[in-house]
Amino acid sequence: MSMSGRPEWYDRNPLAVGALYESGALAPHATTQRFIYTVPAGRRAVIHSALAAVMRDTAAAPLGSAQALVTTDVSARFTAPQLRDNTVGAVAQQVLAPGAILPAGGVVEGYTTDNSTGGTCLFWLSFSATEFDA
Amino acid sequence: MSMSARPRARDRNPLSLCEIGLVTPTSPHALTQRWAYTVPARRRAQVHHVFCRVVRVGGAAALGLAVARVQRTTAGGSVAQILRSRIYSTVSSTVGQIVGWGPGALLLNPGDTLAGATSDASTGGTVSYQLSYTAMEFDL
Repeated sequence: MSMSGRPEWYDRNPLAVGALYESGALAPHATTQRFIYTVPAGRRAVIHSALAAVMRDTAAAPLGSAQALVTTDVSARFTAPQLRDNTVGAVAQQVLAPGAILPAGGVVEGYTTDNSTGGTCLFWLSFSATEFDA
Repeated sequence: MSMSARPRARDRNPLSLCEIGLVTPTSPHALTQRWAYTVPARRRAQVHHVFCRVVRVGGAAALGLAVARVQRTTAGGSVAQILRSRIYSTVSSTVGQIVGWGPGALLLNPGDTLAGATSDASTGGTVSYQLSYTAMEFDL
């Protein structure tokens, strides 16, 4: 219950925001940003969902670590599944309902990385949120 | 009660929504939408839970990826993937990742859509799917 006399967050000019990244088959690569969302001035955002997944598409030689990450404020990880399996079709996935409230200037970012040699992986990154007046 | 001027969401003509979303064993197919819910004008909705499951029923001749997914698309066209379950095995009765959760009262605004879809890039064989959700719709 709101004791402040202010409308609930979903009545303060709510705007649905989010991002989706679905890769094709990607060769090994350094950490690469795939999306970034920044909460605008005068607004806040509640983060409803974060999804990250990585799947081995073709075998590596030698195998390293492939990772998909959805983070907030650079280093705080919502989801960060790590794949260390050379079996084609092997999957690492994490989904989360953070419920986190980000202030103006807060960010949500998606990254992928694979330090294997050779082979390919598929990556999925997504988040959903609602932005509202601070 | 809320101290704000407006009643809370659950007191604004609430309507419960539910989709079971069972897809019986199905042959390989391109991405196919199984259901979609679009928030009517002057209403909003809070999604309480989403669930996805994929199960191999009949072995495939040539293996491909079978997927069940639930996505939110805003009225403006922005897409977020809420849940995804997949299977990459031709062994009958293999169950793909079962993923179910309550996405923090995911809010849908007028014109936003929540949709469930499946695909299977295998050759031959069958896969069953379940994509479900529950939500509450209320006055804007």
